[in-house]
Order: sequence, then structure tokens, then C-alpha cells
Amino acid sequence: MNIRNGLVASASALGLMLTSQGAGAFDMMEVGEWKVEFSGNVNGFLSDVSCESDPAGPVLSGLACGSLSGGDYDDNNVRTGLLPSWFGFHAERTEENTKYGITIGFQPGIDSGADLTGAPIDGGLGLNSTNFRQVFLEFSGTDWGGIKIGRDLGLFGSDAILSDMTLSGVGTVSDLTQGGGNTSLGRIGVGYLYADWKGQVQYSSPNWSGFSFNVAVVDPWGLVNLSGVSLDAGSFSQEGSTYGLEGKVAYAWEGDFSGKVWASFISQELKSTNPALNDEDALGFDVGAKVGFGGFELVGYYYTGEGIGSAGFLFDAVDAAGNTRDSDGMYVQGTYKIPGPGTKIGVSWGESNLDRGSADPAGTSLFETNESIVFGIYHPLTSALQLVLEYTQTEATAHNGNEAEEKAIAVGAILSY
Amino acid sequence: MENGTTAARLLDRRRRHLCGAHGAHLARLGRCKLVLVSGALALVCAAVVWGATEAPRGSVVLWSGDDQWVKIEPQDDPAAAPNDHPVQLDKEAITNALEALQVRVADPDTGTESDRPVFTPGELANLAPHVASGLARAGPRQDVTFSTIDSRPLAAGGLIRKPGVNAGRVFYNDGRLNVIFGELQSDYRKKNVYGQRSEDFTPRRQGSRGEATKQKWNLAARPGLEFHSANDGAIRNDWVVIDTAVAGSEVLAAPQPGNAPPREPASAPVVAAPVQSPPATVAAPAPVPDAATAPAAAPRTGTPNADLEQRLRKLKELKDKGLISEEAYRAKMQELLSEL
Repeated sequence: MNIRNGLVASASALGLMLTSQGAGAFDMMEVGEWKVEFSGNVNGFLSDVSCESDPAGPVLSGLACGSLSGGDYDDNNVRTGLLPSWFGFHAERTEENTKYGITIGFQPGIDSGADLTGAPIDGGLGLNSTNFRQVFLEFSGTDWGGIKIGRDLGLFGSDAILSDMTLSGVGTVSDLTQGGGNTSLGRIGVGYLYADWKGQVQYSSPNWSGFSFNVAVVDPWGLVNLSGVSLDAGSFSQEGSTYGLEGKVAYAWEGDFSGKVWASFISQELKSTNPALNDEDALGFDVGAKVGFGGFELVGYYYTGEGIGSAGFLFDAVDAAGNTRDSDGMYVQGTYKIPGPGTKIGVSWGESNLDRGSADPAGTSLFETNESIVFGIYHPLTSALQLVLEYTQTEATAHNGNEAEEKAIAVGAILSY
Repeated sequence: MENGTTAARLLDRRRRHLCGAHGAHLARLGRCKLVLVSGALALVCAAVVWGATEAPRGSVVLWSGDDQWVKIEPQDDPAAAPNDHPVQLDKEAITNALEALQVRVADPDTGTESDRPVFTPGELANLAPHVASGLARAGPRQDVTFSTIDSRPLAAGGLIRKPGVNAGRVFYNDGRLNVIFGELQSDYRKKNVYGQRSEDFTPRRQGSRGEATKQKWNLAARPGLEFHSANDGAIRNDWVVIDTAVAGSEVLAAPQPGNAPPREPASAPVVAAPVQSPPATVAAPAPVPDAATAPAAAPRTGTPNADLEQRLRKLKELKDKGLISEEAYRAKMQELLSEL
């Protein structure tokens, strides 16, 4: 059975599954030689956001209500949380000791994505936003590891976001996603750099008693001038003769005292298209640890980099004169799962910092620190349905002392299937 | 090379950044915040070190692969009676005992009930040798736990197959093999969290001595199998006690698919091998350290002579009922008598 026939059979099987199995039928099934699986979630939240901006001026690229400086205001939404709603399709088979498969996932938001449709934010006739974040093929063997080719989560910072408790909630909203957008920010930009979804060729090692490593050649990206005081991709090209490179080593163990430690890096050469500017390097490292014992789980994470930017890779990474900016960040998180009901309560604190480039004036209103503290309650009503209540306070501070504050209360539910 | 220089410069800058060269930044962070972060990171680091040194004592992985495993783990109930471990059971005996387990399945459309094997041949091939190895290595306060996965057709001859998870714990007590199921052909799914299919949708329960696990299906009664009776008299359908001298006999006697003759019994078709000292050149499996007990005794066998008469009676009863063939009966009888 070739791949096309296999997938056609798989699609046909979906109809059979829906008619023969009834509700809750999205289990893994085998159709001929192929294993197929549909999985994901739908989530939705009422988010009540209160913004206090600084009359003295904005905090550029600040994530607490962001660069808006129009005074205090409230912003309420019915929105998707940090975790996008997800429809994922996965198919795999094994042939001659080689397992291979494909994964495709798309992520519909429940609020209006105005910038994609042209309709005004929260206006009539608007459409919800839809992403296609995942599409990749992979093949692997138990002896030698595996290869992944396609678009999937990046390696650098991936364990940071996967360990973030706000992945089941909302976290920071920010002006970036206030009126729409696909997801909230969670702790992106207030503790870690977003791992993002990247075209890549990734090698994964076998698991040697808990030790493993990954390395990926990724599609090179260009600069993003989020603040308005940075260079963008027009000056530094992603079309140069280079690739991005990411890698991660990790060790995980099981038992009454389970845990994982990891370290990763990200690197990309920034090729200047302006003869007046030099080529630059973006380079970052991170370390993290997660341990669990008796219902408690602790997470600690730290990253640092030069020319990698903040919030997203290469966001505000280079000043207006072409000099890279340093950045770092960290977060700590503690959660406790109550025996019996399984309710998880948690608190986390984190911040991301962006230094001035050598050409940035001392009084720049570019953000220096985005910081937040989150309190969350996550209650599993069933194995699939979780109720969430979160309070997030985010503060942004500029190099010139401007400040902004965002307080967000979110209540909602997430249903996994 | 350039990257290395950049990294060194970057780390030095970070060090100065955190250690006070940037006085304004330090002031911004604030003393309390630094104390909070440093304390939390130190706590996590200490926990990591402690966890890394403590973890191996809890369980020993005997085999893992493709999301399946067999482990030696502590008994789930500290108040439980110690097991008769280590015990030397033949791989074939384990295979026959587990092969005899059947689950009663009801057709969702017609309601017709039928029995089908709990374990597929593929699962047994992975499970039996490692369970045998585990029972020979485990201490009295340890069980052998397992989780296996294989697919079964949704309907006879159907195109669509569905993977199911079997998980539980195995231990040997009072001359019988005990299996407590936590999962019995449960749905196998991975939760999709941010596109990563790594977390089991439903945790794989390993079975518990103290509390019965509710299952979608029930185990079927078979010769040589009994369901455990709890202290309050309740019958535990998730906890099966297997007489390895009997269980699996009908499997040996039954016609095999493809008109093949009944399977020839192995040298020890349905029970553990007789007591024999291991060859001098082959080291006996070392028992896994069991902190809760004194050093484990030498492996004992699962066929104490005291119950030989009972086993002979049981064997004759099976033959009289037509559950085993004359050939299997004679072979087994010879084997039992040779123990005298």
C-alpha cells in the first residue's frame, strides 16, 4: 500500500469510525498497515484585562498592554488561550524496522483575526484566524534515532513553553493579541523566547537510558522591528547563504522523584544587505530543570543571548545602527496537584530583559524588562475536560523609566480529544 | 571559532550583568527578587541532584520499547504480605499462563458475548521472557509491572484494527502466579499538547492490591484461574490467581489455526521447571536490591512437592473433562511423577 492509498484508506476509515464508534471516537486506529490518529483540543476563555499605561509615554515592545499609551482602559474578550485550539492528524506505519509517518495540524482561533481577513477587529463579518503550524514527515529506527523534515516546534525554548503552566491557560494577553489573534502570550516574552514553528530538518538521537539529544538545521529567519526603533529584515536578509542551527541535550528520569534537565542553543548568521552594516551573529543558550515529587512540580529556566531578540526570535534583535542587543530571561514555577480531585494549583514568576544596543540612546523608551506573576487553578472535570481560572499581572518597564501594567483574569475550559 | 568567541563574550557579559557591573540593572532587579530567583533555582538544582541519586532505587526497567515496558517496582501496598520472590519460573510456563487469560467482549451492535485472548502473540513474545526474568530477580517486596500494546480487529476479519493497552503487576505467592490488571485492552492514545504526542491520554494504571480497577471488559473464567477474593468477600475481577500447573492446558490441547496439530508441550509445558541448581558456569540472576527487606533468598521454584497430589488430581480432572489431550496429559503426568 503506497502512501497515497494509505491516506485515502485512512480518510475513509474516519467515516467508518464516526459511524461505528459514536461520540468520543477519535482514538488511534489501524487501517491496513497504517496507524492513524486524530487529536487536539478546543479551548475558550473569558478574559478580563485591565490596563494602566504611563502618561509619560509608551513602553516600546512592552508586553503589559504594550506600546499603547492612551491612558487606562479595560479590554474584555472571549478568546483562545496560549494553547491554540488544534486539529491534528497523524499517520504512521512500520516497514522493515523503519517507522515513518506524517503529521499535519491546523489551529483555528475562536476570535477575529482581523489582520488576516481585512475586517476590522471585533467587527461584523469578521472571520476567525487559522494557522497551519505543523506539517512534517518523519522516519526513525530504534538503533539510530530519527529524522524529521517539515514545519514543527523549534528546539530552542521548546521545553520552556512545554513546561509552562499557562499552556493550559491564558497568561499575558498584551496588545499584540488583545483584540484578536490566534492565541494569548502565556509566558512568551516574560520568561522565555518563543520556540516558534519552523521549517527544519531535525535529527533525534535514540533514548539512551534517559539521555537524548536533537540537532536541527532550520529555515533562516529575518529581523522583526516590533518596537519601531530596530532594524528589520530589509537590512538583514534571511535569504543569505546560511541556515539557522538549533540543538538540545536532555536527561530525563522516572521514579518517585521524576525529572528532566536540558540545555539548548540557537544560532543564525545575519547577513547584511546594507553595505554600511556588518554581518552579525545571533546566538543564544538556555538551561532548564523540571522535577516532580508527590504531586509537587518545580520548574526553573534561564536563557541568555546576543542578537536573538525577545519574545520571538530576532524580534528587536538589532538596533537602528545594526548593532545586536543582548537579552536574557528566566522563570520559576511551582505547582501542586491535590490528590483525589486532581486539581492543580500553581504560581509562576518570570521576566525577559533586553539591553540597549550600542547605538540606542540612554533615554530610549524601548522596553528593558517584561515581567509577570501568574496564579492558576486547573481542575480536571474529566480526563478530557479541564476548567481553568487564572490571574496574571504583567509589568513592562522601559529604559527611560516608562511603565505599563496589565492585570488579566481568565476563566474558561479546555477539552482535549 | 567566531561563534566560540562570541559565546565567551556573551557569557562574560551575562556574568557581569548579574554580578553587579551593571549597577542600575541590579538595582532594578532588586535584592528581594534576586534572593527569590536564586533560592528557587538552588532548590530546583538541589532537587535535581537528589532526584538523580534517588530515582534508580524506585524501579528497574527490564525492557522498554515502542511505548511498552516491563519493570521491577516496589509492592503497591506496604502492608501487603511479602511475595515468594525471587522465583525461577520457566518462560514457557509464563507464556502458557498468560496465554490462557481471556477477556469477555460484547459486540456493541448485537450484544453477543465472545471470549478473546488478553494478550496477542506479539505481546506474549515481549512479556513472558522479561516477566520470568523479573520474577527471578525481584525481592519479596517487589512486583513485576508491565504495559504492553497491540492491535486487534474491531470486527472479525475487519479492515480496521484498534490498539489496546494491557497493564498491571505480576507476583508469585503461595505457589501461584498473581496478575492484577490496571488496564485491560484500554484505549491507546497520546494526548496532543502543543503538537507533541508524548503524554498518555489516560495514565496507565498498574493495578492495586487495595482497590479494584474498573475495566471496560471482564476477564473470563478459565480452568486453572481463580479470581482473588478480598477480605470483605468481594471477588476481584481485575485480580487473577493462576495455577501454572493447569492454566494453558486447553491452549495446548486445542487445534491450532490452519489445521496445525496441537502444540507440542515443551519440556515443561505448563509449569515451572523442576528445582535445579543453575550450572556452575552460569551465574544466577542477581536479585534487585530491595531496601525494605533482608537480602533475598536463593530463587525458589514454583512447584513445591507438597501440592503434587493436588496437581495430579487437577490434571486428571482436566483430562476427564476433555480440556487437555491424552498426549498432553501423559506428558504432564510423566513430568510431575519425575519430581518424586
